[in-house]
Amino acid sequence: MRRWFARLPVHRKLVTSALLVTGVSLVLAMLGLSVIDALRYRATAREDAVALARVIAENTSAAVAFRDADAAREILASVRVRDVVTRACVYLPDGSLFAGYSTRTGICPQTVPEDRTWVGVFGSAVISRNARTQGSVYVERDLSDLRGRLLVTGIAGILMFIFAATAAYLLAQRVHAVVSGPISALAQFARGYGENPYAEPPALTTAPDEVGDLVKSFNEMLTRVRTTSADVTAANRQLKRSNEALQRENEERRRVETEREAALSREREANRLKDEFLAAVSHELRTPLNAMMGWAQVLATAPPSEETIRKAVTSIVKNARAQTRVIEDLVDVSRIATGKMRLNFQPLDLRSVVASTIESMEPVGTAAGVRLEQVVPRDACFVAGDRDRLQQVLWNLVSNGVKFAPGGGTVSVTLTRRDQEIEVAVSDTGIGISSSFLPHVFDRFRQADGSLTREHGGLGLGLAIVKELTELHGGSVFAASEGRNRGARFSFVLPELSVEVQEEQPTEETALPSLDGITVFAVDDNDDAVAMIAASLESAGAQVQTFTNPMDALAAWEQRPADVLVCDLAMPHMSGLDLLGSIRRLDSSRGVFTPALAVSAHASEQHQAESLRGGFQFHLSKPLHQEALVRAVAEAAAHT
Amino acid sequence: MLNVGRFLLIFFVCLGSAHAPVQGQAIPNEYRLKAVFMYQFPQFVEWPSTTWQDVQAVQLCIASPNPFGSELEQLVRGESLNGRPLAVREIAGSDELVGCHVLFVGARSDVATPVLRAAAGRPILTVGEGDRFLESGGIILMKIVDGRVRFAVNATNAAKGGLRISSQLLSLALTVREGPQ
Repeated sequence: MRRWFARLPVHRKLVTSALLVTGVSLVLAMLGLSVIDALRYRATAREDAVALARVIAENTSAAVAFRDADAAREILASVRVRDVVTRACVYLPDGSLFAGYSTRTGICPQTVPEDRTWVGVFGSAVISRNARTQGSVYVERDLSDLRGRLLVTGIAGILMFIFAATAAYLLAQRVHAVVSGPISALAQFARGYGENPYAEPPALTTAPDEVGDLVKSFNEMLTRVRTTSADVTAANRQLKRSNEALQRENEERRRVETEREAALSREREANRLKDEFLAAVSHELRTPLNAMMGWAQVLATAPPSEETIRKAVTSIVKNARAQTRVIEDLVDVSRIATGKMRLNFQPLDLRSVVASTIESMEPVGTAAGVRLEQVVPRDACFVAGDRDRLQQVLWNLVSNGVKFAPGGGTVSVTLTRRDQEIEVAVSDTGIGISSSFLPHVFDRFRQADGSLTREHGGLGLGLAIVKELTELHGGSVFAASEGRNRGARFSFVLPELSVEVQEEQPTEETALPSLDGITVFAVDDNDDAVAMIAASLESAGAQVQTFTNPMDALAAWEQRPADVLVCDLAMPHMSGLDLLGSIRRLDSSRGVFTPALAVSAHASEQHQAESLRGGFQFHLSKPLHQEALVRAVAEAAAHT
Repeated sequence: MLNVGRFLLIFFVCLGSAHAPVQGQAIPNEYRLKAVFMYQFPQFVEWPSTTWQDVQAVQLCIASPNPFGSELEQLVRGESLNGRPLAVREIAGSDELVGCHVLFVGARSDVATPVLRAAAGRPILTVGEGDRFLESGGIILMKIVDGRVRFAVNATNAAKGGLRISSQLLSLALTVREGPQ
C-alpha cells in the first residue's frame, strides 16, 4: 500500500491525501455522532420503557387490586401499539406473575426477573395505592428502531462522503495546479532531458516557495551539468585526437621500421656488391699490370730482339689502355654518383656518333671475330647531347656486345627515328641474359656472374654508366633478351631535337700544331711521367727541359725562363701551385707572363677549378693524351 | 342494553388458580375475600371534599351482625386512606350511621333495610349482598360467581351521595347501572 502510494505522481498523491483525510475525518465524525446518538437513544429508550411501565402500573392497579388477571392482560395488550415493546409483565407483591404480554422474542418469567436476564432496555414501575405496594410492572423494549436510525445515519454519512470527496477532489485539482504543476512540468522535462539534452527547460512561473527553490536549483544544476558535459565532450575530443596522433605515430614508427629493414637489406646487398666490386676492381687493375710488368721485365733482363721489343710495346700499350679504361669508368661512375658529371650539350647527329663508334670498335671486333653492322636512316638524327658521352654510351654497349658474342657472332647497331624520339639499339647474338638478371642489368657493380671464376671480366660498370648518362640526357634505356644463348638487345631512346640545326662539324682532325721554337719546362716528381711529357712535346718540335725536383726547376727558371710551364700539382717539398707562385714573382720582376699548364692525377672539377684559381691557364688530367697535351701547349704558347 | 341509563353487565373475572389466597372453608373464605374487597373499594372512590373535614379516621361500618369476624379489622390495621387510618365499626341501627364512610350491609343483616335507606343519598359508599341491593339504593353489590367474588356497581346511587367511582373500578364491574332510577 505504501509502495503503491509512493509510486503515484505528485498530483495523485495530493488528491489521494485529500480524499483520505476527508474520508477519515468524516468516518470518525460519523462514528462519534453515531455512538453519541446510540447512547442518547439508549437512555431515551430506557426512559421510554420506564414511562411505559409507570403507565401500565397506573392502569393495572385496579385489576391487580381486585386480582382481575383478564383485565390486566387486556390493559397490557394495549402496548401492542408500541411495536418496540418485546414484553410487559405484571407481578404481585409476593413476586408471582400476575399477567404478561409477550411477543415471540420475549416471554415473561414466572417470577420477578433479575435485571441481567433481560436482554434489551427495560423499565420497571411499582403498582401502589395509598402508598401501599400492590405489585410491580416490568417492560422490555428492543432497539430495532435504533438500528434504523443508525442505518439512516450511515446512508447520510456515505452521501456526505461522496459530496465531500467530490469537493475535496476538485479542490485538490486546484491545489495541484498551483503546487505540484511546476513539479510535474519539471519532472517531465527531466525525463525528456535524457533523450534530448539540448532542449531548453520550460519557462516555469514559480512562486517564492520551496517548489520555486527546487526549480531554480534544478535550472542551476542543469547549467552545471551542461558545462560539465561540455568539458567532458571536449576532453573526449582531446583524447580522441591524442589517440589518433598516437596511432599515426605508431604507423609512422612501423613504416620507419619497415623502411629501416629494407634499407638494412639494401645495405647488406650493397655491401656484398661492393665486396664483389672491389674484387673485380682489384682483378681488372692487376691483370693489365701483370702483363705490363712481365714485358717490362723481359725488356730489362736481356738485350731484346727487335721482334720482342715490338711485341712488348704493343702489349704494354694495350694493357695500359685497358687499365685507363677501367679507371675512367670508375671516375665516371663516381662523378655521376656525386652529381659532378658535367655535360657539354650541343646539337649533334647521332649518325656520326654511330659511325665513329663502329669505326673505332672495328679493330676490336675484328680481333674477337665479331662482325659489326650498322643500320642508320638517311636523314639526320639530331639530339641535344654531349658527343663524347654519347659515344661512350654507344661504345660501352658495342664493346659489351662484342665481349659476350662468341666468335663468328654479330653485333648490329640500329638507329631508328620514331615519333619525336630516336632509338639506338645494339643487338648481339651472344649468350643472352637470364630473365632473373634482366631487371638488374643496369645496376651498378652488378654482373650476371659475380664469382671469381667467371668467364668475362670487367667491372660491371659499363651498363650502369650507360643508364646514368642516358638519363642525364633525358632519355631512357631498355634491355631485352629472349633467354640464354639467344642474344640480347640493349637500346636507349633520346628525345629528338626537332629544330633543324646545322650540326657543328667537328673540326677535321688536322695535323698536330707545331711546337717548333717553343721552350717548355716540364716538372713532375715522377720520372716516367716527366719523360712521357718531354717525349710527347719533343715529337711536336718543342724544346723541353725536364725536372723531377721543383727546386731545381725554379733554380733553372731563374737562369733562363721557358715559354711554357707544364707542372705536376702534387709533388714533395714544393707543390705545383707554390712553384707557379714563385715563377710568377720572378716573371713580374722581369715584366713577363708565362702561361702554365697543370697536369694532375686529380681529375675532379674541384681540383681543376683550384688549379685554375691558382694561376694555371690549363688543367690536364692524367693519364695524359699526347695530342691534348700538344694542343694545350700550343694554345698556351699562343697567349704569350 | 336497551334500558336507557342502566346497564347490567356481567363480567366474570378469573382470579387465578392455585395461587389465589382463598382458603378451604366456604363461609369464612367467602368473607375473607369480601373483606379484601371491602378494603380495596374505598381506594377507587372519591368522596366529596367536605367529607374529610375534621375527620380523624376513615370508618368502615358493618351493619350487624358482622360476617367478617375480625378478618376485616386485621386487614386494615395499620393501613390508611388519604393519610387517615382505617377503622372498623359495627352498627346496630341507622342512628349509628353518623361518621360512617363505608357501609357493609350483609344479606343476613337485621337492620339492612333501615340502614340502607338511611345511608342512601349520603356520602357513604354502600357495599352489600342480595339481588335487590342495588335497587334498594346500594352502590356496590358483591356476589359469588363460579366460586369467585364479583361485583356490580350502581353509579347512579353513588352520584346521589356525591361519590365518584373510579373508571378503573367500573371497568372491572360485572354491571354498572347509571342514570336516574
